[in-house]
Amino acid sequence: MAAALSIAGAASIDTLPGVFRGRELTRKERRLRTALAPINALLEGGIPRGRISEIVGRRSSGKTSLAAAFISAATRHGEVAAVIDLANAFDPSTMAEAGVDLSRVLWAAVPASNAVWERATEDLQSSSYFRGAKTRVDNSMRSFLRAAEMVLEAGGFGLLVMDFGDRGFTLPSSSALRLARMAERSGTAVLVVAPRPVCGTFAALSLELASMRRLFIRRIRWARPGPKHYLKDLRQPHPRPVPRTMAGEATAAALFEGMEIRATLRRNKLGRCGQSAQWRSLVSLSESYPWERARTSDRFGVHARVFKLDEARDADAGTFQAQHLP
Amino acid sequence: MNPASASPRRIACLLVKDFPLAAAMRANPELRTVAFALSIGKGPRAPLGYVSGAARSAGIVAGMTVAQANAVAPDLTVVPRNPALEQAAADALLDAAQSFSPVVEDGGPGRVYLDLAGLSGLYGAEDNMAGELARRVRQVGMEAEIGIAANKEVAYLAARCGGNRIIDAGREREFLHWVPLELLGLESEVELQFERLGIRRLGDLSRLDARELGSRMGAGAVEIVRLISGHTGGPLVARCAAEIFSEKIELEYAIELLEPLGFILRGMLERLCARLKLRGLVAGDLTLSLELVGHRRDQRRIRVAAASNEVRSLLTLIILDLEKSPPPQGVEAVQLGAHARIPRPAQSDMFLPPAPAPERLQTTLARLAALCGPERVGTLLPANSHRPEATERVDFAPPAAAAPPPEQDAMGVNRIVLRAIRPAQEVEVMSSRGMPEFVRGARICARVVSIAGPWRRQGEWWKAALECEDGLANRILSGGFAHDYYEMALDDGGVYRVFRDLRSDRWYVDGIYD
Repeated sequence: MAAALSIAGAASIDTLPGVFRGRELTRKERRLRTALAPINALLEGGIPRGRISEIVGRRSSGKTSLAAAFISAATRHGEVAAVIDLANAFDPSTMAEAGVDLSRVLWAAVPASNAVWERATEDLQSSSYFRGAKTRVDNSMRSFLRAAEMVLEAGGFGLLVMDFGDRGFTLPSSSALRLARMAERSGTAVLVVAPRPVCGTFAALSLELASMRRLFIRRIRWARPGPKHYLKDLRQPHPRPVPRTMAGEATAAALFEGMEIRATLRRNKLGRCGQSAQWRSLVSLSESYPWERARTSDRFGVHARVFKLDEARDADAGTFQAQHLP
Repeated sequence: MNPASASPRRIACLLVKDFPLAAAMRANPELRTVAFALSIGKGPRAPLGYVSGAARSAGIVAGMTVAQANAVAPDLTVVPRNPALEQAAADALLDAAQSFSPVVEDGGPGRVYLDLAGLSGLYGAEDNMAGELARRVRQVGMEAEIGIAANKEVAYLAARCGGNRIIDAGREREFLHWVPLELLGLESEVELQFERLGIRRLGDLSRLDARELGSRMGAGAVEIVRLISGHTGGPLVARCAAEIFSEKIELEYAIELLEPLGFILRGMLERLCARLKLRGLVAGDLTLSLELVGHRRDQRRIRVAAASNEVRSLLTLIILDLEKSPPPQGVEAVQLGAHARIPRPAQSDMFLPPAPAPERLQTTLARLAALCGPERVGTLLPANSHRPEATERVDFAPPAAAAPPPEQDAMGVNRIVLRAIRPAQEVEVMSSRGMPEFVRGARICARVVSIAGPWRRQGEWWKAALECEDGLANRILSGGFAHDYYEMALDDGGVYRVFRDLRSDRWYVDGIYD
C-alpha cells in the first residue's frame, strides 16, 4: 500500500510546475527559453543547457538584445547568470529595462591588456612592436577564456554569456573544445555573442542575426499652422496631436523606435537548421504612441533635466517633457 | 544539580619550546634543516640569544658572539632576533587555541592555556584532544607540547615533560612528586643549592617544612611547596578574539624589486590564511603597510571583492596594486593584515534552480578579481545620476533563489539593448543646416541615414557651483555636464547613441543599439 502511494506521489510530483527530476539537469533536451515567441519556435524551445550556442551578427543586428532576453529569462526564474565582457559594453540601464534581474548577474570585464604581462614582454620583445601588439591581444583573449572557465568551474550558473565585442576571430580548437567540455560538465548554457562564428564545430547551434529595418518615425509634418503647432504621425489613421518642436524646425523631429531583426539558424546539432524567424526589438514595449513612450522611457528618465520650451505648457502637450531642440 | 558543574575542571597548556627559534622557523621553513642561532642585534660582536639543537650539537652555546660562533662552526646560520615575527607567532598560537576552545589565556611567549570544559562531546577523550591540538598548532607552522591537568601550573609542568602528557584527575600530587626540579625553570643558583642538598624532585621538597624552607631559600621555594600542597594560581582569564589578523616581518636589508617582495608576501599570506582557516574565517580586505628607507611609510588598503583564503588570488591582487603604484623606496619591513570575514552560509533548496555554492563562488570571485581587477568584477548597476551612461559596481551577492514566477506568454517583440562604449569615443560630425550628416571617428566613418533627437540632459553643475563665485553664468558653466543626445542610424548598418558636449562643442559616441 505504501509502495503504491509512493509511486502515485512520484507520478504526481512530476506534473508540478518547476519540479523536475535530478537527472534532467544533465539532459541535453533541457533548454533555456526566452519570452520571445519567434525564437522559442525557431530553436525548438530555447538554447540547450550544457552546450555552446552562438549569436552572431554585425553591429546593431540585435544580438545583444537577444542575449539580454536569455539573461532575463534565466534570472527571472531564479537562476544566476554570468556575463564575461571583453568589450566592457554591458549597459545595466537598458539590461534592466529588458527585464534582467541585475542582482543575479555576475559581470566581469576583462581588461584589454595585462600590465604585468606587458612589462615582461617589453623586455623580451622590444625589437618587434608588431609581435608585441599581437601577443597583447592574445593575452586578453586568454584572460577572457580563463574567466569563462572559472565561472564554469564554480558551477551552479544557469547561463554564461561570453561577449566577444567586435573581436570575432575563430578560437583555437583546443580552447573551444575545452570550453565545450566544461559547459557539458557544469550543465551551464554557454551563449557566445560575436560578430561571426568563433567556436566552429564545437558550437551546438549558431544563430545569425541581421537588422532588416531600423524603425524611425520620420513622416511627420505640421498639423496646423499658427501659434499652436502640432505634429502628426501620418501612419496613424486618426492623427493625434503631438508636442511641437522648435517653431518652424520640424525636419528631424523623429523618434527611434527600434529595429526589425531576422534570425537564421545557420548551424544546429540538435535539430533542423536553415529556418528563419523575424521579430522587432523596440525601445519600449508599451502600446502607447511613440511620443508617449519617449516620455515614459527610462532613456530620458525621471532624473533627466530636460529643457521645456514654450509650447511645453500647452494643454495637449503638458506632460511631454522631452522637446526637440535646435 | 548540573552535571557539568560537578565534573572536575580540565586545563590544557600549549607550550612551544624555544619560542623565538620556533617563530623564526615558522617564517623561514628552510631554517628547520640547518644549524642556526638567533643573535641579539647585528654585527660580529652581537651575542647569540638562542641556539637550535643542530647548532648546539656543533658546539655553539648561547652567549657566544657571532664571530666566535662562526669560528667554531663556519656553516652556522645566524639570524637577528625579530620581535615582529615572535608577535605574529604568538598570535598564531592563540588562534590555534581559540579554534579549539572559547576560553583561552595567553600565558606569555609560547605558552597558552585552554579550558577544556564541555569539549569532550566534540573531540572525545583527552588523548584525542591533545592530538587535535598538536595538529592545529602544526597547521600554523609550529610544534607544541601539550599538557592536560586540573590546573594551569600542573598542566604547564606536564607540557614541560615533552610530548602530549595527560595528568588524570586526582593524580596531580603523584605527578608533582615525580617532577624533576629542572623542569621548574628555577634560577641556576637556587637549582644548584637544591642539588647540593640532594633534592632532585618536587617530592623531596614536599617533605621539608615550608617555613624553614622559606627562611633559607626565599619566597620562590614557598611557592613551590604551596603548589605541591594543592594551591593554584587562579582561574583562566579569557582573551578577546582578534578582529584583524596581522603578520609582520622586518627585513635584514631593503628590498627594491617587486619580485622578491612577492616571495615574502606569499609566505605571509600563507601564514595568515592558515590562521584564518583554523578559525573558520576568510580574508576580506587586506591592509599592507610598508616601512621604507628613510623612515617613510607606505600604507595601502587592497579591496578584495570576495572574501577568500586562496593565497594565489590574494597575492595577485596585492601585486597588481603594487604595480599600479610601486613603493618609492626600498622596503625594510612589511606588515600585512587581513580583515576577517565570516563565510556566507547557505543551503540549496531541492525545488529551486541550482545556484553556485557560496564557498566556491567566493573563491571564483576572488580569482576573477585577481584576473580582471576588483573594479571590473561584481554586479553592475545604473548609478543614481543624471548621466545616462553612469554605472556603479557592487559586490556580487545573489539573493536566495525564490520560487519561479508563473510562465508568461511569449511575445513577438523584445526590448532593445544598448552596447556601451567606455569611455565615450570622440568623433567628428559634419553637419548641414544644423543637422548631422556624416560621422567620422576611429572606428566609425559613415553617412547619417536617420536621426532622432536631440534630447538635452544637463546636471551636476551644483557640484562645482560653490567653488566659483564669479556670477551665475560662470557657476553654471564651470562644472557638471550639458549634452545633446542623438540616435543616429548610419549607413554602416549601426544605430549609435551620439552626444554633443555643449561646453566643448565636441561630439562623442557612447553606445550602439544592438
